[in-house]
Order: sequence, then structure tokens, then C-alpha cells
Amino acid sequence: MPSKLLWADDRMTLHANMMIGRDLSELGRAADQLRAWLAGVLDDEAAAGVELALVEALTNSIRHGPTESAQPIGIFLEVTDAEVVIEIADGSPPMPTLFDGAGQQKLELDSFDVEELAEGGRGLSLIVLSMDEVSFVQTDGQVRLRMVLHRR
Amino acid sequence: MKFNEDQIEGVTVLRPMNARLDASAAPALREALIGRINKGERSIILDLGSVTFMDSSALGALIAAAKRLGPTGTIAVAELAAPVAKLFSVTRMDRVFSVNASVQDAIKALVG
Repeated sequence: MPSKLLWADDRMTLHANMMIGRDLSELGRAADQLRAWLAGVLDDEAAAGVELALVEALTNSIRHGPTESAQPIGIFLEVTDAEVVIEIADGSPPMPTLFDGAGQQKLELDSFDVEELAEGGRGLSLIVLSMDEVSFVQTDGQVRLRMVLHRR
Repeated sequence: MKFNEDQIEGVTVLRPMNARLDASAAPALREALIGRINKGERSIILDLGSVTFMDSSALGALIAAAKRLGPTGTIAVAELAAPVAKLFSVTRMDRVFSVNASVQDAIKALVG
């Protein structure tokens, strides 16, 4: 589906959105579109962090979201002078405790012995570390994962 | 996913040709690494010079391969772009895997 892009010049706000299928092969397309949206908005390091947060969140949605739904996953971007906001609507119910405990402390290692390392479980912490705010919101009757990066 | 492969001083150098190593590419990365380990390779350098993006799923593939390899072998990584290097640092994988600026540096570290 095509993305939509709208500049509201009076408020200097950028709105854009796109839909992707529930398939991991869609991750690259979503990331490429995000990078296009953020060109000239964020420097490369900040944009890379937002890209990582988006890809980790979409991967989580595709792997663990409502598999019975044929509905696509919605990605919504808002850019203002103050912040970059990404919202993801995947049809999931609110999960207010999903990010409990996520963060740098969860990525720390008790041992560098590879046998003791988990192969997964880092995605939510990477989202928390890449963005300034992570929450669930209700918008237009949808539950959305909301991720905010402050620009100042 | 395509890989270029070289043998340099007895070390396998595997270069993924995808720019993106995300959850859609992680199974192929895992299969490529474990396939070489199952053939008896004990030292593998993953040349990430073509990779501009890597996520936690691809890291998981590396960890799975390192577990298969066991303590008698080594997986090193080289040529990390800035976002990839940051991923290794934040997740502390730079303390688990040998991270090198170049493939040559990785070979020196492995074979002396």
C-alpha cells in the first residue's frame, strides 16, 4: 500500500503513514520508508536508532501479534520541531507491562560464556534504549504502540 | 541471502551481501554459519562490510552459531558500520565476540 505524507505548514508538522503485511519480508520496506521520511529530519545516528526501534517493534508484532488477523500493520509518523513520534497499530490489546524491566540493565551480562547467553529477548530493551518514551495509546479506536524521540 | 566466502590463512571469511541483517535474514545467516561449523570450520570471520543495519534477531543467529561452535572455535566480526558497532556495544556482544576494524585485523587476532 502507498504511504501518505502530509506537511501541515502552519504547524510545521509532518504526518505520514504506511501499511505493511504481517510478514518479516516487509521489514526492509518499512525501514526504507522510515529512512526516507526522516531524511533531513534527524542526523544519521538518531535515524539509525529510530530505525532499530521500528524494526524491533514490527518484528515483535509479526512474530507475537494476533496471528489470526489478516489486517495489515499500520505505521504512523508525526514529526514536529520537538519530537519524532512513531505509532504502530497491529490489532493487539493493550499490554501495559510489556516493557517492564526492559532497558540497559536487561542487556547486561552476568557471564561472557556464550553457552549461558539467550539467543533472543533483547528487542524490547533495544526499543527502550533507542527512544525517549515508549507507551501504549488509544487512537481512532486502535491500540497503538507509541515511541517518541525528543529532538532537543 | 548471498554470501561471499574466502579462505585466508586457514580462516573462513564469510561476507553477507545483504545490507540488512534483520529477522527476515537471520535464519539464512544462522544456516550459513552453522553449515560451515558442521563442515568442521573452527575459525570464522563474519565480514560485515556490506551491512548497514543489524538487529537483535541477527545477533541471535550469531549466538546460536557460537553455541554450536563451542569453546574450541571462534567467530569474529569485522568491518562494522557505526549502527552495527553500537548494537554490539549496547548488547555487550562486543565482550562475547571478537570485534575487529578490518578482516586483516581479525585474521591477525585469530592466527597471530
